[in-house]
Amino acid sequence: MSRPTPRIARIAAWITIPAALVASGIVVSTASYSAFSSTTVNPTSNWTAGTVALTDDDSNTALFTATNLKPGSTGSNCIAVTSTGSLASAVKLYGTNAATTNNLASNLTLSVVQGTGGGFGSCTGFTPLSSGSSLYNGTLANFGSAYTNYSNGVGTWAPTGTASETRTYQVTYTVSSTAPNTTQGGTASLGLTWEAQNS
Amino acid sequence: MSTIDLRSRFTSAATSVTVPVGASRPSLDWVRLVLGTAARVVLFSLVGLMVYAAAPAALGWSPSTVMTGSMEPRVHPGDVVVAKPVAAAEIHRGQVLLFDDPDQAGHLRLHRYHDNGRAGQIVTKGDANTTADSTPIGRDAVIGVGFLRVPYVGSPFVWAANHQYGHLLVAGGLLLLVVVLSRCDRHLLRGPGDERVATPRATASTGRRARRRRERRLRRLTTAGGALGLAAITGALALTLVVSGGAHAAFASSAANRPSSLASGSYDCLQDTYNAQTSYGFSYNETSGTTTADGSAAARVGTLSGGATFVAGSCAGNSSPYLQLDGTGQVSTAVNLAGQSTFSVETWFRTTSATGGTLAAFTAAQSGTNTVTDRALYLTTGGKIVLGVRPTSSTTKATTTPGSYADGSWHHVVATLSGTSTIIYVDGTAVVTDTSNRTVQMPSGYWRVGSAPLTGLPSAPSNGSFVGSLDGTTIYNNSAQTASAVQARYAAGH
Repeated sequence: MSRPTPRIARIAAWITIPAALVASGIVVSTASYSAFSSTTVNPTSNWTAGTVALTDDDSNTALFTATNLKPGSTGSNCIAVTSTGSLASAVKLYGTNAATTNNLASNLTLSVVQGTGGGFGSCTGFTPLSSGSSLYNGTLANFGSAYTNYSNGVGTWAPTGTASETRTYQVTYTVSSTAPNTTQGGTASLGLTWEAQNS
Repeated sequence: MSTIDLRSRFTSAATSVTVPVGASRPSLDWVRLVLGTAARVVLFSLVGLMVYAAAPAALGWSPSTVMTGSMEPRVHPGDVVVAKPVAAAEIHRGQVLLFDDPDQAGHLRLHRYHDNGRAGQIVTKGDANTTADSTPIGRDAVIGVGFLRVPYVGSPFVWAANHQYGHLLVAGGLLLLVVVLSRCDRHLLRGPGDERVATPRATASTGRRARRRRERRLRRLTTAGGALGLAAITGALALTLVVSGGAHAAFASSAANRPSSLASGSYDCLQDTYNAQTSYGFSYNETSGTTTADGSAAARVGTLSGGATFVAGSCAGNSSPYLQLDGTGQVSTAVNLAGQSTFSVETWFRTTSATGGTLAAFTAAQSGTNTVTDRALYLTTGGKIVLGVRPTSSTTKATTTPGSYADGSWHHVVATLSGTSTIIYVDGTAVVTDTSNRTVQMPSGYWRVGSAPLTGLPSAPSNGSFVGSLDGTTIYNNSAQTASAVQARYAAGH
């Protein structure tokens, strides 16, 4: 068998460029087609490089269901939120489904304090953080209109993702002493959602 | 290298020629050729991929490296996605969009257009997230629609960002290996004719050696130049990708508490308490309607007519709901009472009007002006408070306060008439005591608030209807309240 001639060698040297262009072109077009041609995808659970995961201990029960409230009526509950993700993330709290009749929500004050201890149904043992514990103190109506999604949510909790972390939030409502008589027989509702996104 | 002695026919001197040893193993040369070609294909393919990834930037398209995996399984971390700018009208559901991350300023996000939000906004969702992104985006935040995907070419940036230096080293080593392999058949380009320098003259002259050296140097220069050029192009492409930045397909997880509901009842703190001598106690706590509740033990009712409206108030001090009269309104009662020789009239009032008017009066008829007013508490046009009575059907008597009170502030007034005197208390203190005004005839009639015909009564304004605010109007049909009781009522506020 003879050795390759220089001419063959030169062909071999330069044919690679068009071959490479064709090869890379095929790769890109196939990859693009598979990525962008389909318009809906079912969610998959095989995440590859780490996750963000947040749960709470409320057993699908609302923090408050109260009736016959009067000026000065108050109630308080705690909820423990746990992050088990493996990526560093930032947790924000915001409101959903804000609704009111007779303007009651503007005459209800809401306070949210973050800390440790206690859990859903009982704030026994709850200790606020030594600094920055108060996340919100204002009317229920203002919370429901100002904090509606992750980008404008309140919160300073940043789980590192190295281990499971839990933080407790104490939520308190009070009917304002200046609630006018026109708020009698009114209702106010608000859902609280905690969301973590990897940072 | 082996040296072969050649016996040239021109000379007897031996000429040394160096011939690559491969000349004796052509199969190895073919292996090198194949390896080198394969390595070059891989190398140039990589460059080609980078061209597809970075070159569209020159067209104004946006390449970006996908840094996280929330668009799995279709887009992986390390992929470079090139987003093509499209007109807002051509962005529709199902497309993968590159847009400004609304939750993390200065970052880009690559997620799918999941649904329409309010007011033309777009709700996005990562394919690997179970719920849609909580923050919708405006259409103007969209940079482009995903068009090209170059797989894994951006992996070095992801590894560097995640501090996975081991991956970087291994990849770098593999790349170096490919580069070396691509050069391993270079010698084949030079055929035997190039190497053999057998000439008629045995000794290599300086010129030929120099020529050989020049050829070698030229070859090295072109090789170096080519390599440098390739490196420069690749570097520029890589720089474009670095500058374009990474798109974080953000992972999100949420824990939602179901909506809490709070409902208010009726506020009993609004209720005033009235003592046992009260005939009518009107707190005006209603929010609407034409009747107002009487807080006395008799629990009668007052009926609004004309320009009389309820104004909202709270349980906080001196802020209770009250009644506003515009000069055409009144509150009438339906119970015919017998006028007594002692009585008290009490109310809170606030006005700036210069037309005076009735605060409360006892008249023969329930309403209307075609009737006789037997006893009335009213304001003069100057704002002074008067208790005017008819001791007989043909005489009148009045007691007037020295001070005026039409100053826009709330004032508390109680006027009592007993067998001894008439006393008017304002804001808890007796301001006038009139012992000459102590008898009154006793017909039967009806109490009314805010309006009554005052014709004939001393210092009465021509218009008997009050313009202003009233609260806590209380009638004691058969009692002259004591000073301490008046004090306590004043202290309780309105």
